[in-house]
Parts: sequence; structure tokens; C-alpha cells
Amino acid sequence: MIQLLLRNQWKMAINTLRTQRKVNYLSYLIVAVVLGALLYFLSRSVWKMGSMITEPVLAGLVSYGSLAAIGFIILLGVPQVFKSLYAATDLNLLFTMPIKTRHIFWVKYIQSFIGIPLLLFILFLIPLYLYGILMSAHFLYYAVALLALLSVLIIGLSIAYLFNLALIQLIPANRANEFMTMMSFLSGILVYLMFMLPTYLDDQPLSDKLLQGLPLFPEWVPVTWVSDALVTSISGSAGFIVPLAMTVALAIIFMLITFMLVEKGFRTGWIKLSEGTSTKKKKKKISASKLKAPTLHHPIIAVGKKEFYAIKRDMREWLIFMPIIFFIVFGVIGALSGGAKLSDLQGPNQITWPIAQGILLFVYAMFNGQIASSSIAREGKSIWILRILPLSGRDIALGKLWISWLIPFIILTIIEIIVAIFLKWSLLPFIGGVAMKMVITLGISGIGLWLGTIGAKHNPNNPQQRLKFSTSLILLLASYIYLIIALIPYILLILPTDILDPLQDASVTGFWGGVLNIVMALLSWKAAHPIIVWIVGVVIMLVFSLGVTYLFTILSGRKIDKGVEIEIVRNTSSASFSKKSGKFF
Amino acid sequence: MSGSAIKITNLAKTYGKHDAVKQLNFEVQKGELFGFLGPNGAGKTTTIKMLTGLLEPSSGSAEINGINIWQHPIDAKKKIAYVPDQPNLYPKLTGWDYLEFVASVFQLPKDRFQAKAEELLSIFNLSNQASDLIESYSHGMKQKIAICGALVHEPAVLFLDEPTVGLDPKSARSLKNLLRKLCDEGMTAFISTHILEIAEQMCDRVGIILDGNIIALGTMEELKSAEGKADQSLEDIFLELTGGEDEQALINEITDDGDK
Repeated sequence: MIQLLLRNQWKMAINTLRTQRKVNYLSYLIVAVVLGALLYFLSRSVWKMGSMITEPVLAGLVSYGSLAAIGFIILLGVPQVFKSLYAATDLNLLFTMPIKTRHIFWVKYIQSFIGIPLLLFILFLIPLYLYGILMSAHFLYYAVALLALLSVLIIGLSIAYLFNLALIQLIPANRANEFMTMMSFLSGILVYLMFMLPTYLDDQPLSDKLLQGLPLFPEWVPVTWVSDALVTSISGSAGFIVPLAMTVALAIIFMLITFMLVEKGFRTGWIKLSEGTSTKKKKKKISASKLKAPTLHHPIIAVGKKEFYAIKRDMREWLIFMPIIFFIVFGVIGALSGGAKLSDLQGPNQITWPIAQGILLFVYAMFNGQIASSSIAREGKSIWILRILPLSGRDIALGKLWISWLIPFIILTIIEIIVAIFLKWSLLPFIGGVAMKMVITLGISGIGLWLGTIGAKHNPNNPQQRLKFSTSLILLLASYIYLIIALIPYILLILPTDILDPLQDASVTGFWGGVLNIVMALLSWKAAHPIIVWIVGVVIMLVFSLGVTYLFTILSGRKIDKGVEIEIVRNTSSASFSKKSGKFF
Repeated sequence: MSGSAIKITNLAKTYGKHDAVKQLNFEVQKGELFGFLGPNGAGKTTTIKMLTGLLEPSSGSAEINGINIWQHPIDAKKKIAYVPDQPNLYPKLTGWDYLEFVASVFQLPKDRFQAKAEELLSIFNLSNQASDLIESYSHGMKQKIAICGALVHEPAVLFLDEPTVGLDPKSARSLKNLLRKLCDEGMTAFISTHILEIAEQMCDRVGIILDGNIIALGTMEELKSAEGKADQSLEDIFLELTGGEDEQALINEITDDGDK
């Protein structure tokens, strides 16, 4: 039966490959070239420097490499395993057929090896074998390397499966999609902590310990068994048997625990999720006369409100703001561990305020464009509603623009207020900074919106993936280029005129000399006519930012009128070929 | 009833070398309940999408109450509503939020909206679920809230693509009765369906499309007299016109063999 199922998967994979668009073959080729180059680079490094890698250094590399492999598989495997166990479209059919659950599970498990584990297998095995050849290792080394590597991959994959099989018992079915994203985030933290393990165990930097050939982990950590087995097998000594046996045994134990949870975690978990959203909270019985009073708005406001509900009610949408938490958490931890005190920061407003403005603008550039661009692809298959309603493209664009600009503005302004209170900023520059950001960030949202109309991509399972890759790169670049240009008049306004003298002494030529001359000329005008230059600077900033916003909103409206093409990512039954692009409109 | 609510002139849609819809010409009168029939892939949904502004015609024109939908889309869309066969609605809105959104776009007065929305929710038994998110609705409930959204602004012309698929018998009956009543009051309905009994019982006129061509158009009586088979049902006429009778004969033969 397993063979039959695997053959079926193979046929589907071949047909998927055969029927896809030619442009996809190009992307496969690019991926193959990149991976080939990476493998070549790794192999070449091993070949050139292998003789300098002593056995203790090899032990460190192998143990840390094994940890990295397990970490990668958990990080990338958890969501992939979730999709293949609970979101694959073929399960509906398979569970109605006379097939044992554990056979279906086996197929899914085997399939999971194609992808990240297979890639890691190749990237680890070839350099390890090259090292063996270079060091004239005993033939047992090759078998040990193969077995140890397979065990590491099985351990990593089994942890990813266990994560899913165990947590499915705890998740309320109607929150499964959101919980999945949170689980990816938690697994990210787990992997981060794993990578930081050597640092926590010892104060000495990891690179120093690696180069000195000092052990990275205590003896009881399984990745040390892997390195012990490998290092001792080079000479053909029998010392590899115990650590290898322990590694293989651990892999088997992990696999057995995973398979013990199949019936409970896989089948019943799938049933629980399939019941899905109907297992919901107690229904409030509302009589028709008690429905809430209607709140009707202007169509542009209504479009924005609809977007807000879509964001507010889906926890996954808020993960876009996760970097802010990282900034705050790691910033605070970094500052505290560095021995800084709040009072140290409270004094120099002229330093903390401009730095904070820079950081906030950097964060705005990161969020505004992304949120605005997402608002187009968020429509997904519901886009017909906007097209059927008597709404012009301009109205739709404006509706999406105001909300995608306002949400980050409110969140970041609240953070800025808190920072301002803590750091005791003066009121005037604080208000000036907020007003400046309010205007400048509109342009970023406008650019993001337009890019959303030309590169929309909808993956129902991943709200963070709402732009085609190339478009998201353009968005990143365009946001920062716009920001730099828009900030020129502002920077000139806040630059003190007393830097003119040191600038005049600078001996810069060429392009930067030209730039310096312009800056000096502007500063001279500022020194001579401060109010006029200030007004002109503000007007230029307003005209540029609002002009860019207007231009890109109009362009977005026109594109929406013409029809937006959203690339729909569909999940198919095959985990390894789980993405298929479809066109909609 | 006076004047045409829908006027289709030389309407065609071509995908590469494939003509999905070929030079259609017909009109639907105001207040008429028009049934649009045809086998799978005949061009029904393509035609409806061209009439509702979702798909641009390769040639020809479509007018709604005298307004060309591709030349004046906003004016034309103010007159229409559409219920697709797959009700892909906003999953994170509640049923009530969705109706509010539609009402806001059409800028309905609050009182009128509240009265109409509550009436429709009550007809389709959705009053108790109006505060739930649409993502928690079954297919039938999504279909019903889509119908409520389409009717809440009292459109002049309503397009429905397979409206009864997924509806329970009670809701299907409510929809049929409501459509008949609304059409009697002056609304025009353009329905595509595979359920021929619906077309036979409800529709004032029927059009049958096959391979992108209209092969029959008229009232039930006109179709029957044109075929010279007054005693036949719409199903018989449909199968005869669309070539399905051969398959039906084969099925009968297999069934007969099985019975022996």
C-alpha cells in the first residue's frame, strides 16, 4: 500500500512538473545553480583547508553542524509538516478509502525527506566524504558519516512531527491557522535558543572555542555523540561504536514516539481540524430585532474598515509587527546587559531624538509599504466583490491607502510617545517629528499600494506572503530611496548652521564634492534667511511626499480599474510540490 | 414591464483560438425572470461575467438599463447585483459587517438598510448567525449571505449563477418565491442554472446556450411549439437540443441491462 501511495505521489509530482509554466523551470534552474554553487564552495573549502582541520576542530564543526541541521529542519519543517499532515487536499479522499492511517502517515513521513532534509543531506555528506578522502580516512568513516547524518535528519524531522502531533491536541480547531503561525514563531525562538546554547554554556565566543578545538557541548548532548562517532571512525578505531549506536538509538526512539502518536495525533487531529470553525464558541442567540444598529460610512471609509476587520481578526496579520517586539526586547536586553541606565539616555535629547527619528523612519519604511501592498492581495478570491460594486479604482485605492497608513502610524506613534516620556524629549521637536513622519510615510504607503497592484500574490496560509518575490525586492528598494529623497529638506532643516565652517575646510572633490557644495550653499541660505528656508523646506517636503502619494494612488486606482492579477498559491496534496501558481483576474 | 433591462449586442469572448462565447444578441425585458441554461462549458458563466463587468468582452456590447457596462461601469454597477456560484466572501467579516459594507458602498440610508437587512436575514434564517464570522459559515450559509448582500440595495437587475447550489430545500423555496415576487415588482433576474425544474416553473423566458451560441430563446410555450413537442418537458427539449439524449439513451440501456 505504501508503495502504491508513493507511486501515486510520484506520478502527481511528475505531472505537476510537466504542466507548469515555463518560467517555473527557469526558477528551478536558478535554485539548482545557487545550490550547486553553495555545494561547490563548501567542497572547495574542505578540499583546500581540510588538512588544517584537526580532529578537535572537526568535532566542533560536526556537533555544531548537526545542531544547525536539526534547527533548520525544525524551523522550516514545522509549518511544512503541518500542511502535509492536516492541510493536504488528498487526505479527504485517503481517509475515506480502506487504507491504514499509519500507511498514509508513512508516506507523508517519507515525503518529508524530499526538501530541506534532502538538501541538508547533500550539503553535509559530500563535504564530509571529501574530508574523508583528503584525510585518507578508514572505510568505516564513510558508513559512520552516512548513518550519523541520517540519524540527525530523522531526529530533526521527528521533532518537527512531534511538535505538530502533540500541539494539535491543545489547539482549539477554529484557531488552528493562527496558532500555526504562532507555532512557527515559537519554533523560531526554540531554534534561536538552540543556536545560542554554546554561548550560554560558556562565556567564551563560539568562534574562539571552535578554532581552539574546545568542546562546544557537554558529553551528554546527542550532537556530541555524532561528532565523537565521526572523529573516532577516521582512524578506524572501534571507539565510534558506542556514540554511533546511541545516536542511531535516539533516532529510532524519536521515530517510534512519532509513530505512537499517529492514530491520536494524525487522524483525530485531522478530523478535529476538518470540523474546523464549526466547533465554535457558544452562539449568542440574537433575535432579528436585536441586531446591532447599523453604522454606515462613506465608501472609501467602508473599504478601509473592511480591511481593518480583516487585519484585526486574524492574528497572523499582526505578525508583520513582530520585528518591533524584537527591536524592543533585544534593544532593552542589549542595553541592560551593557550596563546602561535610563538616566544616561535622558540627558542628551539632541542625540537620542534624531537617532530615534532615524530608527522610526527605518521601521516605517519596512512596514508601511508592506502593509499597503498586502491590502491588494488580501482580497484573494473575494476580489470579485470590489469589481462588482459601484466603486472606482481610485476609491478602492484611497480606502486601502488610509487604513494601511493609519495602522502603523498609530502603533509607532504610541511607542514614540512612551519613548518620549521616558527620555524626556521636548514637546516641540516631538510634535514636529510626528508631523514630519505623518506626511513622509504617506508616500511609502502609496508606493506600496501601487506595487501591490502589479505584483499581488495570495497564499491563504501565509498572510505575510502577499507580494511576488521580485516585487517585494523592488518595494524594499523603492521605500528606502523615497525615504532618503523625502528626508533631504528635513535633514537640512535640522542641520545646525554652525557646521558650515568645518564643512568649508573639508577637501572633497568629484560627486561628493558637488553634493557638499550644494549642502553648503543651502546652509548659507539658511544662515542668511532662516524663516524663508524653513518654509521652503517644509513646502518642498510636503509637495514631494503628497505628490508621490497622489501619483501612486492614482496609478493604483487605474490599475484596479483595468483589473488586478492576483497569483493564487494553492496547496496541493504533494508536500514537496505544494505550491502551484494560478491566475485570478 | 417596458424597455429592456439587459441588451446584448454581438457579445463575444475569445481565448486564443477558442471562441468561448460567439456573437450573442438578445434582450431581457424589465421585470423579467430570465433562465440561462446550457451544459457545462457552454459559456454561461463567461456571459454572466461579461454582463457584470468581471470579464472584458472581446467584441460587442452589454447594456444594463441602457448603460454600457464597459463604457460606464460605475453607473451600470449601481443598477446590478451578482451572486456567483462560488460565494468567496470576506472571511473575517461577520454577516452583518458584510451587509453594512455593501450598504455603505451603495450609500443607503440607515433606516432603509436596517429594515431591508433584517427582512432578508429573516427570510433566509440567518438572523441568529449574522454576528458570526463568515469563515464559520457553511457553503449554503455563505450563499445565503451573498444573496442577502445582493438584494439589500434593491438592484434593478440581479445576476445569479447557480443560486440554489448548496441551499437547503427551505431556503431554495424562499429564494424562488422571493425572486418571483421581486420580478413581479419590477426587478429583472438573470439566472443560470442546471436545475431545469426551476427554469420551467419560475422563468418567464429561457435561453439555451451551447458552445457559445444561443440555440434556443423564448417562453416555455414558444420553445415547446418551436420543437413541435408540446407534451415534452424542458428537460427533454434541453437534452434534445444539447445532444444529451444520446447519453441518456445509453444510461437507459445500461439500467435496462442491469435490471434484466
